Amino acid sequence: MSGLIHSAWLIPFFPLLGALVAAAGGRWLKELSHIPVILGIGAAFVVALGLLTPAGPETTTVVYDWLNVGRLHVPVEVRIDGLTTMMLAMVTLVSMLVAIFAAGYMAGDPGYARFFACIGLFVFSMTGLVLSNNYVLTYLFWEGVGTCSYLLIGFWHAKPSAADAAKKAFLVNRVGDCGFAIACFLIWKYSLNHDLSYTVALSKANLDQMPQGVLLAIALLIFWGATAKSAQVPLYVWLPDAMEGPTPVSALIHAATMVTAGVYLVARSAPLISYAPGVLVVVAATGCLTALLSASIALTQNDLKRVLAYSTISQLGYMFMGLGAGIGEVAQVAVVAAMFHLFTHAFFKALLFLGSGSVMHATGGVIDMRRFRGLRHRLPITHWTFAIGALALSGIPPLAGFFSKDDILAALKSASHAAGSRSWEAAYATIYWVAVLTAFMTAFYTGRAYFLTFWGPEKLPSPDDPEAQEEDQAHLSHSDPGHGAASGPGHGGHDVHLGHESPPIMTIPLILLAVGAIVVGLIFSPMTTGWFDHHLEKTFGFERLGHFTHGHAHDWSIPIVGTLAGVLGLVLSGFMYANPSPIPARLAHRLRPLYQASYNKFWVDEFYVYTVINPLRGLARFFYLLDDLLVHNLVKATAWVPRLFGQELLAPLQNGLLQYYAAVTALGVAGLLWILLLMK
Amino acid sequence: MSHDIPLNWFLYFAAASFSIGLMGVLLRRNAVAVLMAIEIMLNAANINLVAFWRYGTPPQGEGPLTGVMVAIFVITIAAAEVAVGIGLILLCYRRWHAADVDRFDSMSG
Amino acid sequence: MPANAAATLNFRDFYVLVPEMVLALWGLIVLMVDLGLLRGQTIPRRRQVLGRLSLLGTLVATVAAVAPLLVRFDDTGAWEWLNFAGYNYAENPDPVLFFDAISGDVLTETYNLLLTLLLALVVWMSMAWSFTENWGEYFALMFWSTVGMMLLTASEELLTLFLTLETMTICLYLCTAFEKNRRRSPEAGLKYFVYGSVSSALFLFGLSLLYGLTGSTRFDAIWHALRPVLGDNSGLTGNLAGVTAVLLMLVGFGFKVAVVPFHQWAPDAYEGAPAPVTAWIATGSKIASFVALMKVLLHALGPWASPTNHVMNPGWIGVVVVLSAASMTYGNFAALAQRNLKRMLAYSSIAHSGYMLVGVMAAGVSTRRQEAAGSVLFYLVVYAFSNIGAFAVAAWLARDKGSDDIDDLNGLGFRYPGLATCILLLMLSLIGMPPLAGFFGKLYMFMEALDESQAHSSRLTLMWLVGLGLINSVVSAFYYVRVLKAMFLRHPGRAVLAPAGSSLAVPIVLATAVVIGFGLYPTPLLNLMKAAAVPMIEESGRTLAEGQPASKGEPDREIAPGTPKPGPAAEPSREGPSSHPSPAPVPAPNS
Repeated sequence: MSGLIHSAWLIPFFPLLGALVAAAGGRWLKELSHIPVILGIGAAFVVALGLLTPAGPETTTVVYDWLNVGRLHVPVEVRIDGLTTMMLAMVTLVSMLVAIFAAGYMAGDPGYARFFACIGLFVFSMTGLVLSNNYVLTYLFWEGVGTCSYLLIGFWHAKPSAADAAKKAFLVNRVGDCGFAIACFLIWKYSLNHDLSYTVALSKANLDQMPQGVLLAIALLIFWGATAKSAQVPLYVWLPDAMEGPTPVSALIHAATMVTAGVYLVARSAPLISYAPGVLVVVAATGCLTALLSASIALTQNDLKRVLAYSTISQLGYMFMGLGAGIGEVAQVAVVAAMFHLFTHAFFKALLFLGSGSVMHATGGVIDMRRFRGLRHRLPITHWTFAIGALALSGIPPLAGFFSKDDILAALKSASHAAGSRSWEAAYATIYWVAVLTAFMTAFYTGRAYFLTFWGPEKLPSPDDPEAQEEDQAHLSHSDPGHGAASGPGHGGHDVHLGHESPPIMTIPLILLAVGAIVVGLIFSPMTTGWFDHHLEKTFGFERLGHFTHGHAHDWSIPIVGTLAGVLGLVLSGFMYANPSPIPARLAHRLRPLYQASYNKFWVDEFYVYTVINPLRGLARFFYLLDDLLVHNLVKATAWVPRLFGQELLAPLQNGLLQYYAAVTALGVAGLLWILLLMK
Repeated sequence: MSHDIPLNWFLYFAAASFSIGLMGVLLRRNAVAVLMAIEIMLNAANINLVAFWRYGTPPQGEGPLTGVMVAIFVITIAAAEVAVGIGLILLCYRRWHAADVDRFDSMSG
Repeated sequence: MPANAAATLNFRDFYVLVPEMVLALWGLIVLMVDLGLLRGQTIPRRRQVLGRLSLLGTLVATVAAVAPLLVRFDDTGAWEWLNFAGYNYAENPDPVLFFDAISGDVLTETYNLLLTLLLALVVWMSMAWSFTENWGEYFALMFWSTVGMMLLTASEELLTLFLTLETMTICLYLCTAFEKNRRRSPEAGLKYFVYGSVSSALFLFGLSLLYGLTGSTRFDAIWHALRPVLGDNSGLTGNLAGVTAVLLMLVGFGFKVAVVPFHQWAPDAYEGAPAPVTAWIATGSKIASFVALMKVLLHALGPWASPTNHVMNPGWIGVVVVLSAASMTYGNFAALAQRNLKRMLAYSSIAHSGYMLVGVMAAGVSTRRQEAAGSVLFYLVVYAFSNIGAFAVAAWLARDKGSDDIDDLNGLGFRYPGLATCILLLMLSLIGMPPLAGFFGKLYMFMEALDESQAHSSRLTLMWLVGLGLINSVVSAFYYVRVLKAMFLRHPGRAVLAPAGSSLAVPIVLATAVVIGFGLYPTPLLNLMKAAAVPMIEESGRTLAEGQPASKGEPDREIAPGTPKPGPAAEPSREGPSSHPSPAPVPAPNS
């Protein structure tokens, strides 16, 4: 067993190897480029499964000593505890299925090898992030994840919207990285022996000796970093745009590799954050706001992937609500609930995204739900798997989403009793009810997306759709097969066979994920077997988190309320959207301001444009002027001065004359001799 | 016998011939003359070495002939240097048809 | 320290020297094959055959150089395997071979290996195109210069040092002038030769003075002889002969490693020499000389570093500070104005010498001398590999364009993305970007220089030097990035370079692999280099075994006045107050 622990480094290594092979051999492998990457991720998955049993809270192993300079000591050390192994198994499994799906979805793309090389690199970064045992390495891989997401979102970089989305993702993430970096510096400064490893930094002795203010600052900064990576208010704006990348990338980002990084970091640092209870409320409130806001945006979006994107943000909000509920003796339960939601969410969200990819495959890259309907007969497998994903996301028992959502609601409810102060209890109670409301909205928009896509009279997109015209005018190159390979999976050929079920290489991952979405809740839930929480208890520092000392009776009102909200939402959406009906339009008309607000995503992007981007642009214009007048000339001067220095001053010294050189040497010796003799 | 001439005289002589050699390197235009000047510098060091050997006691654990041995090696090295130097000067002479060191300035800056 | 009486040659002495012997013999073989078997063959054919033969020779030498790192013999001929991973120098005290002339320690062994590997890359690079007709002589001279370099790093006394220094440079003078059909090559050779001969004459004069002052040429004996001078804590004060000796020897080394103001041969010789020779001058010759410089300064002349650890005291520390600051600044600023790749690399190598002198100074005053010296050795390795790669690019230009203009690299990134990426990484490493080895080289060296254990008075100077070094690193980015700009941002105007071929691609790719490898995993090399640095530090190493603590944690590391160190058995009898070295030794009282 211990041998297996020492080979934990293989988990990031295999995908990296696959990526390198795909990158180096892409020229020869061509349409087979996915094989090394899928094999690499698969091998990593096998190793990750093997690590599940030997994982323990203190199990770490140093792969090698990387940096040892003065007082900065960063070994490449991996930690194999409950949290890590759970994440690893989930990340590698979902990534593998996504990669297999992508092998079918991306077929024929000119950048096939590049795509899979990036996927391998992405999985490498994410597994490295999860495995590393110190903040520096985590930070490095954190940046690696950011870079890979940039590469993949902007995969079709010829498409301006994709390039912009990639840039947006990268820039917004930089804002968060900045917070995480400062947190690292602070930890280095105040940690015992300047040790950045989790073993020391999160130890009780270390946390006890840190000043309270510093702890507060570190906790807030880590959360700041997490808000960007995990798309929380106010830094969530990059995620909806990130679907400009190929759909498997969206699945990867939303389910496995990217947005979970922030949640993971906060969960990993839970022992630290629990020292700063005020931060927990901030975390919960941010999650709550995010969940509500994005759910209400998702209600009205017409773009299937966009609905799913906002639902991811909303579900991430759920996870942060769970993390934030970790107050007092609820702490352990809350963190476990959040991680459990992350775990189940990975399955059904990957499923939903891949399902939408399958739909796009059938519609020739069109994803606007107004342009197709009633696909359930044409795409039976996609339909059924999507339905399972939708049910799971809506939290209908006994699917996965029900159990994890219920755990988070239970944690919130417990927190509203255990927070200690009256105002905090009120806050948590509010958050709880907002969470229930969000659950209802989630079920509603999920149902809407499902019914609009698969029910009603059958309709396939045609170029004559009014929306197609409108879209063409709006953004010239968005998701239309007519624009060639640069948009969506449509490579011209899809026009011919529209409306066909995807090939088995795409449907098999869908089926596997659907099975996962059905069973993982039942198998692992604390309500049933409790395997998941037992496993997570093997995480370093989690035993110090508060947990219920006396038996905790399960509050049956919570699952009932949650299920009711879900069922109600689904039924309502079925009523409104299963068949064409005038109700939605009438409702939209009646509630026009609300509808408009939601449809336009509460103008948050516009808000940023006016408050952040335009002032910055103004500033930039000012600086541009400054630049043009002052800096430009300065730069010219700096380029000119060294040249002047080099050419006018130094070049004559190097005049090519031998005896001159010898004279300089002799003078140099004389000068140095003189200096030395003058020194006393 | 050795007291007839003090060590300092040798040292002054060596320093003087060293300086003469250095001046020769700096001032003579002809490359062959520069080569000769370098030889003078090496030989000045040889005088030093031999004089120090003759006037000093070798410390314990040191061979009795160190200075002389160094000098002999330096003489051989000087011979090798001359051979190489003449070769290089000939090579340049073929290109420039001159052996003046201040002509060889095609590279600078 | 073995005395003369006990010294005999045994098998072990030759065991360490096998790589040198292989290379020396192989040079002869190559020469004879060229003159005999290959007579009348075309030049490219001779180039290919002799190049492969030479590669085989470097391979054999590499094996011979690896052997002492794996298996060690003791005096009796018994042997043992060495555990390379957990190498502990203290358990493997270094032997001094050939009557104290050369050492067979870890430093020698690792640098032998390094030099053979670098030589292999240079030989490989040489096979790219026919810049000369005399291939047999060319490869033979490259081999023999390498023999000189290897023995130079191994030398433990001044005569051997001078001899090997000359062996190395005389071969390189000739190699420089080998591109006979171009004007600049003989010119570069002559300049290199005259400048080199003058500086070796200066060095020799300094050597003769040092011999006169100490009565010996062995580093250890010199160190012992200079040590009592510290009793009065005056260092070099008023010691005109001592100051002159130190300075003149520094000129000799300063020429070899190209530091300002003894650098002026470098740009011209680098530009004129064929690119593989330039690569060998810039890497092999430089690292070997640097190791010798460190051995002489830190070991033999250690007591003359500075009497009170203060920079502004008579001692070589002050000189090194001046040379270091001048080299960094001059090298980088002069490189900014260059359009010729080789000249640019010449100036950048001057700047790198400046950085490394910071490490030497830190090793001279620090209490963590071993770490500081080890960091310089680490830097040397990294520097050597990155520069070999960079000169392979110059060779590429010279082969296809006959020029060295950076502008001729235009558009390389579009045409050959793989190799261009390698060059990008090499340049980034030379700038010092993480996580490449160049970054760690600078980081280790500057961190050691800034270590808190330095004497307070010299810390300030070191801080200034490190600050200057950092500013200079930023400046250096400008000219390295110019190469990248040409490759990736400009479109090829004229015809792009032809494919590199294995002879150029292999050095570039291998150098890049080394730069990445030691960036991702620098620790083993660093530990090895720290172990290798032990014998060049005067109070540790051989004399450490006699009970003297390596460092006392005191900022002022010098031994208290008047307490001569209990040296080896023969020592006290010699070191009476009567033999206090003065500018001239006491005349012999006999006859």
